[in-house]
Amino acid sequence: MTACEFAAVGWLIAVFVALYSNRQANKRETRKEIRDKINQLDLLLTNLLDSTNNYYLDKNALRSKESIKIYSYINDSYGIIEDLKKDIKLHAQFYVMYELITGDDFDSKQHQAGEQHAMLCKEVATQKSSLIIEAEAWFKGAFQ
Amino acid sequence: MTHKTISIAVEYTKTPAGRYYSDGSFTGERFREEFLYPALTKNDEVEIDLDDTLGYGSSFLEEAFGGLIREKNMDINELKDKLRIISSRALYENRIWQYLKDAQQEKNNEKTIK
Repeated sequence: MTACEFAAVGWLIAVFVALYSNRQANKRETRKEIRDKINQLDLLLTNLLDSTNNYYLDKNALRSKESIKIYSYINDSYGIIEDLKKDIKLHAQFYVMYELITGDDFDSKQHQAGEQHAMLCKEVATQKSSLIIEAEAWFKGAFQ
Repeated sequence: MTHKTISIAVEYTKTPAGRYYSDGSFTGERFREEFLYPALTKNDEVEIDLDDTLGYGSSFLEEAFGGLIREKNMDINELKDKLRIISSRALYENRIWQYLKDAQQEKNNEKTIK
């Protein structure tokens, strides 16, 4: 092998190493972005759950305040679910949460908070939990 | 060809809430009866702009839109031709078309049983 050929092989190896490093860096960056989004989603859904519990169970809660928070958490959570959709499909579980929380007599002047809504709140909590479990399972499978 | 755009925030309310008239002042039933259905009967195309409100509950959207099929005897194919939804939040548009499909399915099932 001539010196020229040695140099060419060296360059080729350097290019492959650079490409591989770049790919790994991109993967780390994607991993970090998705991790952050899942964490954000978890936090928003936890807040949504808290406001839902206040709205439906707490007779002393200011209903309109909790309702405003609920809309805000729903809109923000859905934004993240849309951002994640090319990687993870979480829409179905989220729709169930949305229907449970904002269906029935939500925002009706006839709504009365109390224990009669305990089952609804438990279902919302279960749904939230399964949505996050699915997101975490996907993340683990994709990056670990 | 006649065309009408209804911005819910501008022409109805920035705070839509509730299903039936008895639930409050700006409910889904009232929107359907006084705004949406009349516009659909008088125009070839109706655009509903959902933006600039805080959000929509499923009870409001289901009653307003699903009710077109259930209560007003409209058909989903007719609505696909006439109705346009404008929304920067995909959630609400997705839900509306799902409620229309569900209402149509329910109506078809009832016809089959009869």
